[in-house]
Amino acid sequence: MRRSGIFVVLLLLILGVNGVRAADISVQTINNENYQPPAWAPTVSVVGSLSPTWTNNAFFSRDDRKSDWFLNSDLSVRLDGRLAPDLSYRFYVRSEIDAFAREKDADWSMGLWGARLAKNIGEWNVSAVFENRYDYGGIYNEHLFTAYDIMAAASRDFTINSVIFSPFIRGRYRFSDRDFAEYWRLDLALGIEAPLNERWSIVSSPFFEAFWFTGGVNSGRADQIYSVSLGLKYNIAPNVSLTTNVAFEERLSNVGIRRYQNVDIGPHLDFAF
Amino acid sequence: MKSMIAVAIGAILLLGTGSGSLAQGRGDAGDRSQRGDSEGFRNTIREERLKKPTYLQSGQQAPEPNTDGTTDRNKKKK
Repeated sequence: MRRSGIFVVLLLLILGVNGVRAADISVQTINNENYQPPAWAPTVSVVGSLSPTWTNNAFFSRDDRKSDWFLNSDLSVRLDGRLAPDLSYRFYVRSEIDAFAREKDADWSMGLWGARLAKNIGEWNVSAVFENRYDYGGIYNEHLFTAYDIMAAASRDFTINSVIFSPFIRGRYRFSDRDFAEYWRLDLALGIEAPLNERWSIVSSPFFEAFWFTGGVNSGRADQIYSVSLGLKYNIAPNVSLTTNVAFEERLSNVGIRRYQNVDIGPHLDFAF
Repeated sequence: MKSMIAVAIGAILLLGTGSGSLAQGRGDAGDRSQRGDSEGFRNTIREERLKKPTYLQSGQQAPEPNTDGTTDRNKKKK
């Protein structure tokens, strides 16, 4: 009787230990299935925009206005990560092309790589950015200049009656291998998005840019660009949208021939993966 | 006298043409990049919005995942 009792106790112990092991394995399995990368692990994303656009001023000229269609392609590959809970970094490469249907002399392209450090200060996201940029006439054909941009920017979002406002301010100095391209620059923008329902919204992106050129034949030149746009946006998915857009842009300058007015009309397909 | 006037007019025309070509040549390369610059700026503003879907920011709830395998129609029948 005593022996059988000991046997039963041993059997229960073995079964119990195995049961605990089984439970451990199943918890581990669940943990593995629900695994999420730690917040500091870098992530890679591809972000871009594709747009067939009509313009009434292909060369941004004051006097020689020529209308044309062009395809704008803008593609970035980004590596994002965190150094601390409120301090993030980004390394990125970006390629942008304007390919015109008729006015081939207006074709333009650029490639750049950059690095950004961003920190939340209060409700604002503040960032410091460095970009090394290569500009070309034609599709990566005629090298125009190489630029080194040092920038500081701040942005935030706030919502009033479901309308999202995104003010943005950025200052920069551009160093370049061609002195005419060097300038101080200030950008002010206000992104506005008024949702109509889950998919549709009205969007607008007014911005102001001021340039103070510092080198070469452009020394002393000061430009101001005023731009307004209005569009209807359809969210195909949270990371894909289609926006029909009309944009008006005017540049004022203390060099008369550098003034222009321009209207662009076209759809934009934006995506982020 | 006439020849001097002609030379003066010629010089003025030459200077005018010269300054005109200088003005034409001012920052041409920079200007060719202006369109892409503006486009790029607008693209960036739009792309930043992609990560913040409108229907989640407008105070509405994201749709809950259907975990029990039933459809809304089936639930109503129950």
